[in-house]
Amino acid sequence: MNTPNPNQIAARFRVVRENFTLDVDLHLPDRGITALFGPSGCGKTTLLRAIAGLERAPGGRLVVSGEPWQDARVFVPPHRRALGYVFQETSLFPHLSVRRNLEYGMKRVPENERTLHWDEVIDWLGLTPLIRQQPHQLSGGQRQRVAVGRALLSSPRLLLMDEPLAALDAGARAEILPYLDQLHQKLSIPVLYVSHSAEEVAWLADHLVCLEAGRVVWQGKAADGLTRLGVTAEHSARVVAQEEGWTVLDIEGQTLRLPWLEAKPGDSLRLRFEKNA
Amino acid sequence: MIRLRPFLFATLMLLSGHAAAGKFTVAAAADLKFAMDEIIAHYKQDHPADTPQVIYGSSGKFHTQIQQNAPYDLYFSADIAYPRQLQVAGFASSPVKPYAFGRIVLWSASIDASKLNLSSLADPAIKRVAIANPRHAPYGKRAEEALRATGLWDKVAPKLVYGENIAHTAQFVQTGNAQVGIIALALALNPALSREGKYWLIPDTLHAPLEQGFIVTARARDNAGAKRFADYMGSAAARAVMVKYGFALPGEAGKQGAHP
Amino acid sequence: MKLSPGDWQAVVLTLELAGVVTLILFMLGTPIAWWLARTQSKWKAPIGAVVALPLVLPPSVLGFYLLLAMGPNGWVGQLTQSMGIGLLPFTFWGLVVGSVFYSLPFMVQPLQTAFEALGERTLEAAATLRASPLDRFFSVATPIARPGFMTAGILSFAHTVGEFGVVLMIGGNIPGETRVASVQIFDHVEALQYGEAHHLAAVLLVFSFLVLLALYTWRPKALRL
Repeated sequence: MNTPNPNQIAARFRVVRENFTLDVDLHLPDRGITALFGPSGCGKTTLLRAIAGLERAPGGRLVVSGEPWQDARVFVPPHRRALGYVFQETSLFPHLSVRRNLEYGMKRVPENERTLHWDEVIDWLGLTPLIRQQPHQLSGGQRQRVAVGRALLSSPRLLLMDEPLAALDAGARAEILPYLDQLHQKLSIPVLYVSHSAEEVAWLADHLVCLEAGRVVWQGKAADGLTRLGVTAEHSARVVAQEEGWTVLDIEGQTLRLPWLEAKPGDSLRLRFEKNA
Repeated sequence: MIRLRPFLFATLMLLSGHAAAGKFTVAAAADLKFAMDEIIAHYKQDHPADTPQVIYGSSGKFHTQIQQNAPYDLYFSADIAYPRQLQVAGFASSPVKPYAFGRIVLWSASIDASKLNLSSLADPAIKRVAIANPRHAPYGKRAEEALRATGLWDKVAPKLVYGENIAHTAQFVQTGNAQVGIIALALALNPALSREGKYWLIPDTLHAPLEQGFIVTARARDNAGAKRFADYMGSAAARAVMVKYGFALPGEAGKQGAHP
Repeated sequence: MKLSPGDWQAVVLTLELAGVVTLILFMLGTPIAWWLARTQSKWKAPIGAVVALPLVLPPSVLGFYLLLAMGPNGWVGQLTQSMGIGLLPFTFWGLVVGSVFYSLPFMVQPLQTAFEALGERTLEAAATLRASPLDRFFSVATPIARPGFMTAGILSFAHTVGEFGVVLMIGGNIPGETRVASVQIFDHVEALQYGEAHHLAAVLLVFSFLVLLALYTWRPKALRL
């Protein structure tokens, strides 16, 4: 997985729907978060479902890590594809506790094939206090965190997220975004992230694919694509020090002093500048 | 739904109010099915103004229904005991008139029953024997008596299946599910069954007589049509039909009511 | 309340019959309900209609056809004979076959409703978590649809207990073999023995009431077929 291969995920699909035709031929990077961005009804969810095998797309072709998941002869059913899928609305099993939900996918992967382990996933997502609860006792944001954890514990080679924050209110989004943001750094698997929110894309994405009416209209590095989304500039910053009500940041060698931010020296932040509308 | 029909019909009759003169309803035991149809047909030719209706069913059920004021004007029972009880209880407007003696036969749709006799029923090759339920069906009672009189009951009882009435019993045999049945001669002689199998007449010395009787019910006290039909049952034409269908007639010596 | 040994025998036989029929219906009705709940096949409507037929067919009609079909000249009868089972009418297993057919909609319809309410999402989530179709069925669909299974089981059982017409037509009224409680009550009535009929009918009535009371108390919407 260490050798970068730009053609790690090759997906070609043509799906005809009543109101649109999805027609894409994509080569996606093998790590980092790739956002599939576009307005509602542009086909991004259909594409994600086709990649998962939840949507039958006859004639499609999909290769992940050199393994054909779909071509003229092969159709690997969803449960044999090493992927994780986080749905927009809650998909936790109502009859199982949070712990049993988290274990569900894990138990179905042989121990020697597990790449992500219980303790680290629970820790990353801060799930420890939730484990003994039942799904109906959780808030919307907590449920999505559990859903992400459940997907990761099945040791996927590809993580698919279908607008995981769209059904949440602003508070819950703000609560969960930092957790997702950390995934970059910790996960060595590619993530496909469907969204129609520029904010989320700006936060999370490394790579960006813009879809309109079923076709790819732009793809490339997220930073380059952000202007398209109304974001004019974005920078990575490191917290140098906290002094007297000010936070000192280092941005590519330049020092910037901002009113106090909740961070520790050494934390990395992302700064985004938007045009005032 | 077969069972519901008399009831539904009864309801309709109630709704339509009491009949005009000449309109009357006959409740007749199931074994009379073919004979009564033919008698009614003759009757209508002779009395074109009258409009009789016939309902067939189990004598016991009619007996219960008449006690609940069912709208039947004449009641023909396969067991004369029922109309006698009704008459005592005041549900009759005529004396109980015996109209026939029924006979029972061995009948089969799969083997030649005319070559059988009662002891054939003990044959292991015969797996199922259908009789009407002796608890409440007159023909079933006589079947049991005949089997007991010949000492066959213990051997045959394990093979017995019970029909709810004599027509249901015939159905078991007709469909081949029972090889042999003990049914009414009147049914064995009817066109539908006589095509499908032969019969052996069980001697009437082996069982109590199947004396059948009818009454005009209390509600038909003033029904002229019902009275006319009651009288018609004594006519030569009606008696001839009864004989044709295997009934022995009261007042005639004929021990063999049929001519197999 | 005193029941005669014959009445007890009929009651025990009835419970045995209803138990066996309900078990078989679980095995037979579940895949049918599953298929009906999920398929988009053009056969969905016709198959659904066939399953529902016993709801409208008069039992005596159904019973008569079964008597013909299971008889020595019927196709079922030919089949059972060639399999060495012999003929089904007048046997306990004949009643089982008839009752399974007759109570089928009472099993299939509540299950179908429960399976339809499951929703696609939960099952898809299980699929992306490595669960095979069979695994998904047992680990997700069955536990979530459990109230539907309870309803279906209770209704099928109760309906079989109350069955009369089919049993009458194919049973032959053999004590300990095919003489179930409903037929026994009918015979008491036909024999004008109303006292015995009342006792046994009261037992059935109380039993059925308790079953339905339990069902309604525990799941008020259970009977919306």
